[in-house]
Amino acid sequence: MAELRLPHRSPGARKAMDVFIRFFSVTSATIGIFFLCWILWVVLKRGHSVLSLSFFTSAPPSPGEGTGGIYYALVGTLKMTGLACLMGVPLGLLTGVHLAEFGRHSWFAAAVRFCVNLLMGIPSILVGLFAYTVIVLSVPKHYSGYAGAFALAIIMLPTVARTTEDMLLLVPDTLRESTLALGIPRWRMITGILFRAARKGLLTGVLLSISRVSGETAPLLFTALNNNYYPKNLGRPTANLTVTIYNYAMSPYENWQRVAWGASLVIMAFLLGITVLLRTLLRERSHR
Amino acid sequence: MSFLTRSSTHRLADRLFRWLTIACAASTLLLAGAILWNLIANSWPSISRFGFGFITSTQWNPVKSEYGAASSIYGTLVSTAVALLLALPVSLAIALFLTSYAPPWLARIVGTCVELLAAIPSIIYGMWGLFVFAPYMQKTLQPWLARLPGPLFSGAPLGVGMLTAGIILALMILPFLTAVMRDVFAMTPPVLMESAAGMGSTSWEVTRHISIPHGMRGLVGATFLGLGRAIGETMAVTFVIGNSHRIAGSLFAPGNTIASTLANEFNEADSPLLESALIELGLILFAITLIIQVLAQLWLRSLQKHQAR
Amino acid sequence: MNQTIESIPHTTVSETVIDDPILSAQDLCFWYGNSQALFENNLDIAPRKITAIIGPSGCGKSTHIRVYNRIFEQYRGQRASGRVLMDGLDLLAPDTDIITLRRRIGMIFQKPTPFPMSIFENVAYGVRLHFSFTKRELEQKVEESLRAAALWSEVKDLLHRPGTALSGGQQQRLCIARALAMSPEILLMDEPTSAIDPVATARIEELMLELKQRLTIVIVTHNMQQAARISDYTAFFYQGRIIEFGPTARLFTKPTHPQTEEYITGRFG
Ligand SMILES: Nc1ncnc2c1ncn2[C@@H]1O[C@H](COP(=O)(O)OP(=O)(O)OP(=O)(O)O)[C@@H](O)[C@H]1O
Ligand SMILES: [Mg+2]
Repeated sequence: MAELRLPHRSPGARKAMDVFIRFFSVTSATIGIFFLCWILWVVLKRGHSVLSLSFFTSAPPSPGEGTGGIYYALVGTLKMTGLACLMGVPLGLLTGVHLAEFGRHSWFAAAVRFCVNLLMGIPSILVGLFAYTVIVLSVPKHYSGYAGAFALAIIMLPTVARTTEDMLLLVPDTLRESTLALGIPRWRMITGILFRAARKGLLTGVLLSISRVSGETAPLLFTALNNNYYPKNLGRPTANLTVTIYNYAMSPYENWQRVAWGASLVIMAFLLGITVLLRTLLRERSHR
Repeated sequence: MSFLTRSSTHRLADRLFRWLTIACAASTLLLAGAILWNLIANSWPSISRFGFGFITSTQWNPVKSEYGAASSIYGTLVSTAVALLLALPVSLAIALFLTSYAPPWLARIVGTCVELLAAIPSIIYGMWGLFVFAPYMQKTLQPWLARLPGPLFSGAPLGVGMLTAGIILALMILPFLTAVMRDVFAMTPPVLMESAAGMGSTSWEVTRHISIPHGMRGLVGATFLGLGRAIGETMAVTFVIGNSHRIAGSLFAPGNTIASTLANEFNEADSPLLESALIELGLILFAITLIIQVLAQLWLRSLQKHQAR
Repeated sequence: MNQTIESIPHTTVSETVIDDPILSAQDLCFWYGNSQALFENNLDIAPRKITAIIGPSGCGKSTHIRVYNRIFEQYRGQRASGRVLMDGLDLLAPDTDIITLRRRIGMIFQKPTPFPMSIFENVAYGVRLHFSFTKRELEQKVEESLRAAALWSEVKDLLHRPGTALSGGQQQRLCIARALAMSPEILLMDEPTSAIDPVATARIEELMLELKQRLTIVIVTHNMQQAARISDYTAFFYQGRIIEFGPTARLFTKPTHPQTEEYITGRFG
């Protein structure tokens, strides 16, 4: 029998391509890790020297001389984020409830879902611009922590709404049915049973939204500005971490720049911690 | 006890609760509408003054009160394009690494690391970019790139500029793209992959001919969303793009983006017209993200329909 | 498919007359969107007896009993017509109070669905909503319900463990306890033992025979032996219609309809 002659493609070239891709993928992974380590290292190296307990409890230093801390900025950020949570979380939660529990088929819910996605995708600086036109520009023109909190709340809302919807949809319908079958009214079913069944997921959503806003600078630039005084009330420009970092980093004073790096380290540690926490929460979910 | 004894309190509570959720849900509609409306209303002085020419004019002259958006739009598009060009292949490769090449324990570590890139706030990218990465660019990478022919890599190596901004943006959207691509690859039915591998395909060929076409729609959706992120990124870009209103052909040249112009100039805007022009820039950015969002959502919806079948 | 339906005799046999039924479905029809799933069902449920509903998969058994507590209403496009009388009133009427209806008619599902809370709270949760008990009375009620569900001895020291930590059979009895705590008059059970091992099934069957002293049970089952063992009456459903209804002993030994016979002898379904 004559040997079949087939137009074989050279296996060598195919193998080489495979090896190249393999190499490229390992390199890419290395690049990702490399940059992560580089950034972490830089922040750690430049930020750790100022870190001490007094860094958290003292007022900002005066330009050019002396040491100081981020006490005011920390308090301002906490206050604004807290207020933003108070506005954004309930709104987002109930929006998510509507989407998952009442609006599976309605056109209204479809429109809301679209807007939630749109709000998720809006650049945060535009949210700041919006808060500026709505709150700061109200007569008389005044920058305030309230405007900042309002902007942060707008950023939190869609994140909370989306995760809430997703997490509630993971709860099986049989749980809904068996709750209703006991004669439990629908709102009690949602708040008492479904929220509890999905509590880890809902917590994930809230943490996710907090992590989204706590590193945000852009929405505060035109709203809360910054301040060198203790943020007793939010009716005035309010000290906060991120804008402080921005201003101090861009300043010519070396002691301010050190504070900026220190504050960056604080924020970064917080965000990395929250991200790892979120990962574990989500991992637990997928394991069940 | 009869059925006719309505416990109307429960019904009322149910109805109230439902309306409460409707009101909250409606607030998102209201917000989206209000944002659009406010941007339009506040940029009206600029719109009526400059008309359509605003988009094409490269002027940015506070002294003569002449403003145009062209340089900001150009910078936004170019820096985003650079970011996508860099991030797409790298994230694809990382996703491939995570799903097919790395052993599970390594994949977990690498996956976490890449995810942590997303946890770093944009202002830290900016500081690192300005104080550490830009000097490195200036001393090492740019002189090396300058040896390449063509106008893209010409001019003085300043460190800051379009290219630096693009690279940092790429880093910032990398975790996001990787996550979506990994999901897409993980969704490829194992049967398909196994049968392809059984035919003697190398693992790249399996990816190339099975996973990528199978997940193409998902990948495109991811690209849209990554685009949406990069295009409005503010702080990191503001630090490293150089903030110049000039359009230059070289990627080494400083430039600006819509977001960085806003961040830089809005608080210092002393004339109402400048403020209005800046808000119109914001409106343009909003329009761009809106278009990307709509396209992405339409695309993803058709994807869901496609998968449902 | 229409062909087959036409070929089934339309006269639903009711030689078996139930005196004083606790529930009475009359001309009950049901639609999922545009597709009709139940056709003129007429069925009387005898008080304090166990009525079994059998029939091949997809014949409308679940659909039928899901009308009784109107649980179907939370889904779009599902609708019922006809009447279901209880106390001489139509429970499908719009002004029926669903909360009370569902307190009086409990339901147990195929898969146990413990609430994400402690065993005690699982039972107490609904009780608190429907009754105003003191703490002491509530504890009594919970204990009584767990005893009635034959679960007390197993969990009395674990009341504060999560309900989800129990075994499948225990979870199902927890769900029964939860339903019993509402003091229902009727218990609807949709294949309550199909996800549970034989030993646990035997316990639940025993339990049902005990409960029969106090309340009415309607059970959907695929298990012919189970229906024969525990039920007093049996209804055979086929393609959305009730083909035959009668005392269990009679229906299993002398079925009058060929379909019934074919089904119980295992020739189809
Ligand atoms: N949610 C639904 N939407 C549309 N049709 C449905 C739905 N649920 C059931 N049906 C249809 O209604 C008919 C009766 O379904 P039902 O669930 O009552 O059957 P069943 O007798 O309980 O079956 P099984 O023994 O498998 O539980 C079936 O033809 C089914 O396809
Ligand atoms: Mg069924």
